[in-house]
Amino acid sequence: MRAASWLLNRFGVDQALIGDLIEEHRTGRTAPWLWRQTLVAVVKTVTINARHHYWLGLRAMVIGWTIHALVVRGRRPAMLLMSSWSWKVDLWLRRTLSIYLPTSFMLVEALGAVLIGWTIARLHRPYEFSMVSLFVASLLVFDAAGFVNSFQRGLSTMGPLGLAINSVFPFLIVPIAIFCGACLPDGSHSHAGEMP
Amino acid sequence: MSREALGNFELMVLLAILRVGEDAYGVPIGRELEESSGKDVLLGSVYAALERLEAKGLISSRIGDPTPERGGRAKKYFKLTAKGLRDVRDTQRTLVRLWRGLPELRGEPA
Repeated sequence: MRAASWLLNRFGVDQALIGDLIEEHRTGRTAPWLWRQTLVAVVKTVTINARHHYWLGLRAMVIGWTIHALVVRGRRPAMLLMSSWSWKVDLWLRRTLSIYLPTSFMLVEALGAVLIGWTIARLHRPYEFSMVSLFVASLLVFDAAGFVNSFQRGLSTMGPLGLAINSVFPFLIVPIAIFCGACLPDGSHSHAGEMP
Repeated sequence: MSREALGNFELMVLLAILRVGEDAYGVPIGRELEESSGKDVLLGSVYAALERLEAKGLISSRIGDPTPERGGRAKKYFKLTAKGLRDVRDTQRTLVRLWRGLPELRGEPA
Protein backbone atom coordinates (compact mmCIF):
# COMPACT_ATOMS: atom_id res chain seq x y z
CA MET A 1 0.00 0.00 0.00
CA ARG A 2 2.87 2.37 0.81
CA ALA A 3 4.34 2.22 -2.70
CA ALA A 4 0.94 2.64 -4.36
CA SER A 5 0.09 5.51 -2.04
CA TRP A 6 3.44 7.20 -2.74
CA LEU A 7 2.85 6.89 -6.49
CA LEU A 8 -0.72 8.22 -6.26
CA ASN A 9 0.45 11.21 -4.20
CA ARG A 10 3.33 11.94 -6.52
CA PHE A 11 1.08 12.03 -9.57
CA GLY A 12 -1.35 14.33 -7.79
CA VAL A 13 -4.29 11.91 -7.88
CA ASP A 14 -7.45 13.26 -6.17
CA GLN A 15 -7.09 12.78 -2.40
CA ALA A 16 -10.68 11.48 -2.18
CA LEU A 17 -9.85 8.77 -4.73
CA ILE A 18 -6.70 7.81 -2.80
CA GLY A 19 -8.84 7.58 0.34
CA ASP A 20 -11.34 5.34 -1.48
CA LEU A 21 -8.56 3.01 -2.63
CA ILE A 22 -7.13 2.80 0.91
CA GLU A 23 -10.59 2.08 2.32
CA GLU A 24 -11.23 -0.65 -0.26
CA HIS A 25 -7.79 -2.20 0.25
CA ARG A 26 -8.35 -2.31 4.02
CA THR A 27 -11.66 -4.10 3.55
CA GLY A 28 -10.01 -7.00 1.75
CA ARG A 29 -9.23 -6.01 -1.84
CA THR A 30 -6.12 -7.76 -3.15
CA ALA A 31 -2.75 -6.23 -4.06
CA PRO A 32 -3.24 -6.87 -7.84
CA TRP A 33 -6.62 -5.10 -7.57
CA LEU A 34 -4.96 -2.13 -5.84
CA TRP A 35 -2.17 -1.88 -8.42
CA ARG A 36 -4.58 -2.07 -11.34
CA GLN A 37 -6.67 0.69 -9.78
CA THR A 38 -3.52 2.72 -9.02
CA LEU A 39 -2.18 2.54 -12.58
CA VAL A 40 -5.55 3.52 -14.08
CA ALA A 41 -5.91 6.40 -11.57
CA VAL A 42 -2.43 7.65 -12.51
CA VAL A 43 -3.09 7.44 -16.27
CA LYS A 44 -6.47 9.18 -15.89
CA THR A 45 -4.89 11.95 -13.79
CA VAL A 46 -2.14 12.52 -16.36
CA THR A 47 -4.75 12.61 -19.14
CA ILE A 48 -6.98 15.05 -17.26
CA ASN A 49 -4.02 17.31 -16.39
CA ALA A 50 -2.83 17.23 -20.01
CA ARG A 51 -6.32 18.19 -21.21
CA HIS A 52 -6.83 20.96 -18.66
CA HIS A 53 -3.28 22.36 -18.81
CA TYR A 54 -2.21 21.71 -22.39
CA TRP A 55 -0.06 24.87 -22.50
CA LEU A 56 1.90 23.58 -19.53
CA GLY A 57 2.23 20.23 -21.31
CA LEU A 58 3.52 21.92 -24.44
CA ARG A 59 5.97 23.99 -22.39
CA ALA A 60 7.19 20.85 -20.58
CA MET A 61 7.88 19.16 -23.92
CA VAL A 62 9.69 22.20 -25.35
CA ILE A 63 11.85 22.45 -22.22
CA GLY A 64 12.52 18.70 -22.17
CA TRP A 65 13.46 18.49 -25.84
CA THR A 66 15.66 21.61 -25.59
CA ILE A 67 17.66 20.09 -22.72
CA HIS A 68 17.76 16.80 -24.61
CA ALA A 69 19.25 18.60 -27.65
CA LEU A 70 21.84 20.29 -25.41
CA VAL A 71 22.76 16.92 -23.87
CA VAL A 72 23.19 15.43 -27.36
CA ARG A 73 25.46 18.36 -28.31
CA GLY A 74 27.51 18.07 -25.14
CA ARG A 75 27.71 14.30 -25.22
CA ARG A 76 30.93 13.98 -27.20
CA PRO A 77 33.01 16.41 -25.09
CA ALA A 78 31.68 14.80 -21.91
CA MET A 79 32.56 11.34 -23.20
CA LEU A 80 36.04 12.57 -24.09
CA LEU A 81 36.48 13.82 -20.53
CA MET A 82 35.53 10.38 -19.23
CA SER A 83 37.58 8.47 -21.77
CA SER A 84 40.61 8.14 -19.44
CA TRP A 85 38.72 5.58 -17.33
CA SER A 86 35.65 4.58 -19.31
CA TRP A 87 37.58 2.52 -21.90
CA LYS A 88 38.89 0.32 -19.06
CA VAL A 89 35.34 -0.39 -17.89
CA ASP A 90 34.20 -1.07 -21.46
CA LEU A 91 37.13 -3.42 -22.01
CA TRP A 92 36.54 -5.23 -18.72
CA LEU A 93 32.88 -5.76 -19.62
CA ARG A 94 33.82 -7.05 -23.05
CA ARG A 95 36.45 -9.46 -21.73
CA THR A 96 34.70 -10.81 -18.66
CA LEU A 97 31.03 -10.73 -19.69
CA SER A 98 31.44 -10.66 -23.48
CA ILE A 99 29.15 -7.65 -23.83
CA TYR A 100 29.73 -4.31 -25.46
CA LEU A 101 28.41 -1.38 -23.42
CA PRO A 102 29.37 2.26 -24.08
CA THR A 103 29.44 3.19 -20.37
CA SER A 104 30.43 6.86 -20.83
CA PHE A 105 27.60 7.32 -23.35
CA MET A 106 25.11 5.70 -20.98
CA LEU A 107 26.30 7.76 -18.03
CA VAL A 108 25.94 11.06 -19.94
CA GLU A 109 22.48 10.05 -21.18
CA ALA A 110 21.34 9.00 -17.70
CA LEU A 111 22.62 12.22 -16.09
CA GLY A 112 20.99 14.23 -18.87
CA ALA A 113 17.73 12.38 -18.21
CA VAL A 114 17.93 13.20 -14.49
CA LEU A 115 18.51 16.87 -15.39
CA ILE A 116 15.50 16.88 -17.75
CA GLY A 117 13.23 15.32 -15.11
CA TRP A 118 14.41 17.69 -12.39
CA THR A 119 13.97 20.79 -14.58
CA ILE A 120 10.49 19.90 -15.87
CA ALA A 121 9.33 18.95 -12.37
CA ARG A 122 10.73 22.13 -10.83
CA LEU A 123 9.00 24.35 -13.39
CA HIS A 124 5.61 22.61 -13.40
CA ARG A 125 4.42 22.36 -9.82
CA PRO A 126 1.94 21.02 -8.83
CA TYR A 127 1.53 18.97 -12.03
CA GLU A 128 5.16 17.89 -12.16
CA PHE A 129 4.69 14.14 -12.60
CA SER A 130 1.96 14.58 -15.21
CA MET A 131 4.16 16.93 -17.23
CA VAL A 132 7.21 14.68 -16.87
CA SER A 133 5.03 11.76 -18.05
CA LEU A 134 4.03 13.69 -21.16
CA PHE A 135 7.67 14.32 -22.02
CA VAL A 136 8.59 10.67 -21.36
CA ALA A 137 5.72 9.58 -23.64
CA SER A 138 7.02 11.81 -26.45
CA LEU A 139 10.55 10.49 -25.90
CA LEU A 140 9.38 6.87 -26.06
CA VAL A 141 7.54 7.53 -29.32
CA PHE A 142 10.70 9.13 -30.73
CA ASP A 143 12.91 6.26 -29.51
CA ALA A 144 10.51 3.63 -30.87
CA ALA A 145 10.75 5.19 -34.31
CA GLY A 146 14.51 4.67 -34.42
CA PHE A 147 14.45 1.30 -32.68
CA VAL A 148 14.12 -0.98 -35.69
CA ASN A 149 17.08 0.61 -37.42
CA SER A 150 19.34 0.49 -34.36
CA PHE A 151 18.21 -3.09 -33.66
CA GLN A 152 19.40 -4.26 -37.08
CA ARG A 153 22.73 -2.44 -36.71
CA GLY A 154 23.20 -3.41 -33.07
CA LEU A 155 22.75 -7.14 -33.51
CA SER A 156 25.87 -7.40 -35.63
CA THR A 157 28.09 -5.14 -33.47
CA MET A 158 26.97 -5.80 -29.90
CA GLY A 159 25.81 -9.40 -29.81
CA PRO A 160 22.47 -10.51 -28.32
CA LEU A 161 23.16 -9.62 -24.64
CA GLY A 162 24.73 -6.24 -25.39
CA LEU A 163 21.87 -5.47 -27.72
CA ALA A 164 19.33 -6.50 -25.06
CA ILE A 165 20.90 -4.13 -22.50
CA ASN A 166 21.21 -1.33 -25.07
CA SER A 167 17.59 -1.86 -26.06
CA VAL A 168 16.38 -1.67 -22.49
CA PHE A 169 18.37 1.53 -21.92
CA PRO A 170 16.23 4.12 -23.77
CA PHE A 171 12.93 2.44 -22.91
CA LEU A 172 13.52 1.69 -19.24
CA ILE A 173 16.67 3.23 -17.77
CA VAL A 174 16.24 6.70 -19.32
CA PRO A 175 12.55 7.03 -18.28
CA ILE A 176 13.43 5.82 -14.77
CA ALA A 177 16.29 8.36 -14.63
CA ILE A 178 13.90 11.14 -15.75
CA PHE A 179 11.42 10.24 -12.99
CA CYS A 180 14.28 10.01 -10.47
CA GLY A 181 15.24 13.55 -11.49
CA ALA A 182 11.64 14.64 -10.95
CA CYS A 183 11.79 13.19 -7.42
CA LEU A 184 14.90 15.17 -6.47
CA PRO A 185 14.09 17.92 -3.98
CA ASP A 186 14.46 21.55 -4.98
CA GLY A 187 14.17 22.95 -1.47
CA SER A 188 10.88 24.76 -2.07
CA HIS A 189 8.32 21.97 -2.16
CA SER A 190 7.21 19.13 0.03
CA HIS A 191 4.56 16.51 -0.61
CA ALA A 192 1.78 16.34 1.90
CA GLY A 193 0.27 13.29 3.43
CA GLU A 194 2.43 10.21 2.90
CA MET A 195 0.51 7.53 4.66
CA PRO A 196 0.45 3.91 5.70
CA MET B 1 -32.35 16.89 -23.37
CA SER B 2 -29.16 18.99 -23.24
CA ARG B 3 -27.19 19.41 -26.43
CA GLU B 4 -24.38 17.21 -25.11
CA ALA B 5 -25.85 13.70 -24.74
CA LEU B 6 -24.87 11.59 -21.75
CA GLY B 7 -22.44 8.76 -22.37
CA ASN B 8 -23.36 5.25 -21.32
CA PHE B 9 -20.93 5.17 -18.40
CA GLU B 10 -21.86 8.69 -17.31
CA LEU B 11 -25.53 7.72 -17.22
CA MET B 12 -24.66 4.63 -15.17
CA VAL B 13 -22.69 6.78 -12.70
CA LEU B 14 -25.61 9.23 -12.37
CA LEU B 15 -28.03 6.37 -11.70
CA ALA B 16 -25.61 4.82 -9.18
CA ILE B 17 -25.45 8.16 -7.31
CA LEU B 18 -29.25 8.25 -7.22
CA ARG B 19 -29.45 4.65 -5.97
CA VAL B 20 -26.84 5.16 -3.22
CA GLY B 21 -28.49 8.37 -2.04
CA GLU B 22 -27.05 10.50 0.78
CA ASP B 23 -23.92 8.38 1.23
CA ALA B 24 -22.79 8.63 -2.41
CA TYR B 25 -19.00 8.77 -2.44
CA GLY B 26 -16.49 6.82 -4.54
CA VAL B 27 -16.62 3.43 -2.78
CA PRO B 28 -20.43 2.86 -2.67
CA ILE B 29 -20.80 4.31 -6.18
CA GLY B 30 -18.17 1.86 -7.45
CA ARG B 31 -19.81 -1.04 -5.54
CA GLU B 32 -23.24 -0.16 -6.96
CA LEU B 33 -21.82 -0.14 -10.49
CA GLU B 34 -20.06 -3.47 -9.88
CA GLU B 35 -23.20 -5.13 -8.55
CA SER B 36 -25.37 -3.77 -11.38
CA SER B 37 -23.01 -4.58 -14.24
CA GLY B 38 -21.35 -7.68 -12.77
CA LYS B 39 -17.99 -6.31 -13.87
CA ASP B 40 -14.97 -4.97 -12.01
CA VAL B 41 -15.11 -1.18 -11.89
CA LEU B 42 -12.06 1.07 -12.07
CA LEU B 43 -12.40 3.88 -9.54
CA GLY B 44 -10.11 6.08 -11.65
CA SER B 45 -12.64 5.85 -14.49
CA VAL B 46 -15.49 6.59 -12.07
CA TYR B 47 -13.71 9.73 -10.84
CA ALA B 48 -12.94 10.82 -14.41
CA ALA B 49 -16.68 10.49 -15.20
CA LEU B 50 -17.60 12.32 -11.99
CA GLU B 51 -15.23 15.13 -12.93
CA ARG B 52 -16.86 15.45 -16.38
CA LEU B 53 -20.36 15.37 -14.88
CA GLU B 54 -19.45 18.06 -12.37
CA ALA B 55 -17.98 20.22 -15.15
CA LYS B 56 -21.28 19.83 -17.05
CA GLY B 57 -23.17 20.94 -13.95
CA LEU B 58 -25.04 17.64 -13.61
CA ILE B 59 -23.69 16.80 -10.15
CA SER B 60 -22.29 18.74 -7.22
CA SER B 61 -19.83 17.58 -4.58
CA ARG B 62 -18.99 18.32 -0.97
CA ILE B 63 -16.03 17.22 1.11
CA GLY B 64 -16.66 15.23 4.30
CA ASP B 65 -14.43 14.84 7.33
CA PRO B 66 -11.09 12.99 7.11
CA THR B 67 -11.18 9.52 8.66
CA PRO B 68 -8.30 7.31 9.91
CA GLU B 69 -9.48 4.21 7.99
CA ARG B 70 -8.93 6.21 4.80
CA GLY B 71 -5.39 7.25 5.80
CA GLY B 72 -6.66 10.64 6.90
CA ARG B 73 -8.36 11.37 3.58
CA ALA B 74 -11.80 12.94 3.44
CA LYS B 75 -14.68 11.45 1.51
CA LYS B 76 -16.09 13.39 -1.44
CA TYR B 77 -19.87 13.12 -1.55
CA PHE B 78 -21.78 13.59 -4.79
CA LYS B 79 -25.41 14.41 -5.54
CA LEU B 80 -27.37 15.21 -8.66
CA THR B 81 -28.25 18.80 -9.40
CA ALA B 82 -31.70 19.75 -10.74
CA LYS B 83 -30.15 19.87 -14.22
CA GLY B 84 -28.64 16.40 -13.69
CA LEU B 85 -31.98 14.94 -12.62
CA ARG B 86 -33.69 16.55 -15.62
CA ASP B 87 -31.08 15.13 -18.00
CA VAL B 88 -31.48 11.61 -16.54
CA ARG B 89 -35.28 11.81 -16.97
CA ASP B 90 -34.91 13.09 -20.55
CA THR B 91 -32.43 10.32 -21.38
CA GLN B 92 -34.76 7.70 -19.88
CA ARG B 93 -37.69 9.04 -21.92
CA THR B 94 -35.64 9.00 -25.12
CA LEU B 95 -34.33 5.48 -24.49
CA VAL B 96 -37.79 4.10 -23.65
CA ARG B 97 -39.20 5.65 -26.84
CA LEU B 98 -36.38 4.09 -28.89
CA TRP B 99 -36.79 0.76 -27.11
CA ARG B 100 -40.53 0.48 -27.72
CA GLY B 101 -41.75 -1.77 -30.51
CA LEU B 102 -38.45 -3.31 -31.51
CA PRO B 103 -39.15 -6.91 -32.57
CA GLU B 104 -35.45 -7.83 -32.24
CA LEU B 105 -35.57 -7.11 -28.49
CA ARG B 106 -38.77 -9.04 -27.75
CA GLY B 107 -38.59 -12.25 -25.74
CA GLU B 108 -35.15 -11.48 -24.32
CA PRO B 109 -34.82 -12.16 -20.60
CA ALA B 110 -34.71 -8.96 -18.50
